[in-house]
Parts: sequence; structure tokens; C-alpha cells
Amino acid sequence: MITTTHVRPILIVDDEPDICEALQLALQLEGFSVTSAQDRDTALRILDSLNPAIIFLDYRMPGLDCPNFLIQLRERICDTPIVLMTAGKDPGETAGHLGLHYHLSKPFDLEQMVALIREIETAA
Amino acid sequence: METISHIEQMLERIDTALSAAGEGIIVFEPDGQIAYASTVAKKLLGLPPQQHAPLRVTAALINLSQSNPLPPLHELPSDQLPVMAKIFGVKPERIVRISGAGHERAYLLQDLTEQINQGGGDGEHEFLDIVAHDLRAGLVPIKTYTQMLMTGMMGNLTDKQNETLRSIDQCVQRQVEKITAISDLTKFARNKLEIRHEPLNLAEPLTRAVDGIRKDCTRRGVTVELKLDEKTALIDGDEERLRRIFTALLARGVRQTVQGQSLGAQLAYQPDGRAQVCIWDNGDARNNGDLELLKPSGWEMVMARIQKDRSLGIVDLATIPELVRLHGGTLAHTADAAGTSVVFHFPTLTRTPRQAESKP
Repeated sequence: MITTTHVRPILIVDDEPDICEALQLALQLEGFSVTSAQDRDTALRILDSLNPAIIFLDYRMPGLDCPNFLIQLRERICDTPIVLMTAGKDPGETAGHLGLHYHLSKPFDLEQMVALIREIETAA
Repeated sequence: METISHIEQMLERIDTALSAAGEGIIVFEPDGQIAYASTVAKKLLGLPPQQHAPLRVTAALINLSQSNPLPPLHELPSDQLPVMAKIFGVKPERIVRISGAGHERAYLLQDLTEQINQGGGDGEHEFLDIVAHDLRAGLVPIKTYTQMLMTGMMGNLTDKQNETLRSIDQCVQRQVEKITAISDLTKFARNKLEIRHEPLNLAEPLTRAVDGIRKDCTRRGVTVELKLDEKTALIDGDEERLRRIFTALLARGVRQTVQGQSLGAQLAYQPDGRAQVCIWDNGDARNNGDLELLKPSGWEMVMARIQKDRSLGIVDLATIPELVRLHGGTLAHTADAAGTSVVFHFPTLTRTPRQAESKP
């Protein structure tokens, strides 16, 4: 059900195409503008021309050192909220160590993801 | 010099292990100068303090000098330990002291010390962690598409279609619980099983666990009961893991019972302030030895049982004693022809149960 259309898009960075596709479709149907990247280089290229409202970032991606990638992300976008998505153990602790306030533990509820987006939007 | 070399080798091993996880090490000299910084740590240090501070720096404080050894931990000036803890972003109790054969002393974070002690024996557990990670991640699209359909985002569905989707969603949830149980079992084997500590009303995980097996009970023609104390109190616990404990025992109860029999769960607060949870069924339990796993047992016994059964079916039960212990609780059980009863006691945060603020 499309309710609103958000001007600033949401960026999903995850190496699993099925995850990107599912989340992209779900959020688009919720009225969000969404784009996705399945590797670090693509994500950085997107960020050269796009200022997303929120980035959903998979923690463990092949060839992606998350802390280093975060440094590169922060060079491009300082204040954009980043949500760590991880299927690993202790997601809250992992996010905390990376200095990230938000995380989602895979597999999460769609409702949970949308609620988090609303929370971040409200906090902004 | 031999022992210094040993410490250097140890650092290299830690560095290699942590770099893969994007973590770094910083080694401080007693005067506060940085003696060593790993590649990742160097990158982190290149950032302005306000930005690198929250990033993970798994740090070690080590004195490599034989002439100026660090004091034993208990002799540290009282103001130094909190400072070290602050630098590392950890609780002071996570910092431990190790000693070299000479005068060297080093302070390491506890988890690093464990890593050193365990050496390379973590390979297969790390493999299981990776497997668990990928299995969980693979459920994201299934869950997302299912919930898109369930919430009507793709159009209206019939009641039968909705019921089917609820079943798929429930299967996904069970799969997640099974994966988490396997993951917990590997942590248990490494003495690394930890729980979340949050104020928690036990009625919540218990209710969710009972709700999760209602459909199975209906299918089997078994009656399910849930009795909750009118009073309520909080415990310090991990909701997800407690729900898994209760679900594992209730699901076992479903398997034990036949049409016309019953099972249930009860939460009651004791006069001594403890919370008591009883999970019971009246199925004949004489020929089932699975509850032997509820006695504290080692990893080897659990593995032997898994190999004997050629199944991971008991994996949920295997971590229960340890999880209960981590909650500061106790458990006891009886199992015979009349049925099974498992009784848990957990300490509550509020010693005197108070009346529920709202009760339907």
C-alpha cells in the first residue's frame, strides 16, 4: 500500500540480491524511494550522486571490511543515519562498537524495519 | 627477550584474528605512548577523536619493558583502571592481568585472553557461526515476502491463504530459533554463552511460547492451558532465550501427548519473591530419556546424544540448564507415566510482587 513518497531515498547495501530485491520492493510499497547496492564500490558510486535519508548496511559482505567502509561512507555523508543489518551474533554490541545507534537483527520483521525508519525520521 | 618475543607473537596472532573482523589493537607503554597499533587501529586513530571514539578498538595495554614492569592489577592506582576502561570503552572488570615469565606484565581485555588461551581451536565453531549467519540471512527475503502478502501489500487474500502465510511465517520463526539454538550450543561448548540482561515480565515470553504451539495442539487434538499469576514482577533476563526454553518444552509436550490429553504452562510468584514457571503435560514419558539433558551436562554428552539420535532434535533442550543458570535460576523435573513436569524458579528484581497495573 503506497501511502507517501519520500524525496530522499533509502539506500540498502547488501551482497544478497534476494535480500536487496525483497526489501526494496517492500519499502517501495510502503511509499519510500529506495535504491540498493550489492557491493562497496557500487554503494560509494551511488553516494557520489545521492544523499540518502538512511542507509541500511549489511555487516558481513565479501570483500567489505565494515569499519573501513564506514570510514569511507563518513567521508561522503557525515550525518546520514546508518542502520546495521546483521545475521551475526550480538547485533547490538556489534553496532555499538562501530558507533552506530541503530541495528536490525536478521531476519527481522518488515514492520520493525518500517518502524525504525519512522523513528529515525522523527529523530532527524 | 624470549618472553617479549612471545608477547609480540601473541600480538601478531591477535592482530590477524581481529583484522578479519575489522577490529584493531593498540598497545600502550606505561607512560601512555603508543608502542604498537595494528593496521585497523591506525586507520581508526587517523580520525578525529569524536569520530573514532565510538568505533571498536579492541585494545591491549602491555608493557614490553623488562626494566619498568607494570604493577599487578590490584596495585594499580584506583584512578587508572577506570581510565583504562574508558580508553578501551569497556567495563573495568573486563580488563585482566597476564604475566610473562620475566618481569613483563600485561593487561588484556578478557575476551582477548580467552582467545589466546584457546589458540586455534575455534575453527570449527567459527565455521558454525558462519553457517548460522548465512542461514539466518537467507530467511530475510522469505520473511519479507511473506509479511508483504500477509499485510495485504500485494492485494487482498482469502482466509485460507492468510492462514497458510501465517504458517510459513511461524515456520521461519522456528527455523530462526533452531539456528540460534545451534549457535548457542557452539558458544556453550566454548564457555562463551551469554544472555541479555533486561527487566522482563516472564508472562510475555511464556504467553508467546504457548501461542506458538496452539496450532500444533489443535492439529493433535490436545488441550493447552496457560495460567498467569494476577500479580506481576520483573526478572532480569533474556526474553528471546526464555521464550525458546519454554517453546522447546511445550513443543516436546505436544510430541509427548495424544488426542484428548493436555499440556500447559503456569506462572506464579512465590512468597519468597521468586518467580515460578511450571510447564507440564500428561503424556506418558516413561520411554523418553530426553529430559536427562536438563541436568547440567557437558558439550560431549550433548554431542553424543545428537550422534545417537542422528538428529538435532534435542538441540533446544541441550542449552536449557546453562541458560537457566545464567538467569540465576534453578530447574527440576519429573517424568513418568502420569506425565512430565518441569519447574523453574527465577529471582525477581522486585522481591515483593506488585499488583498488575492493568488486567483485562
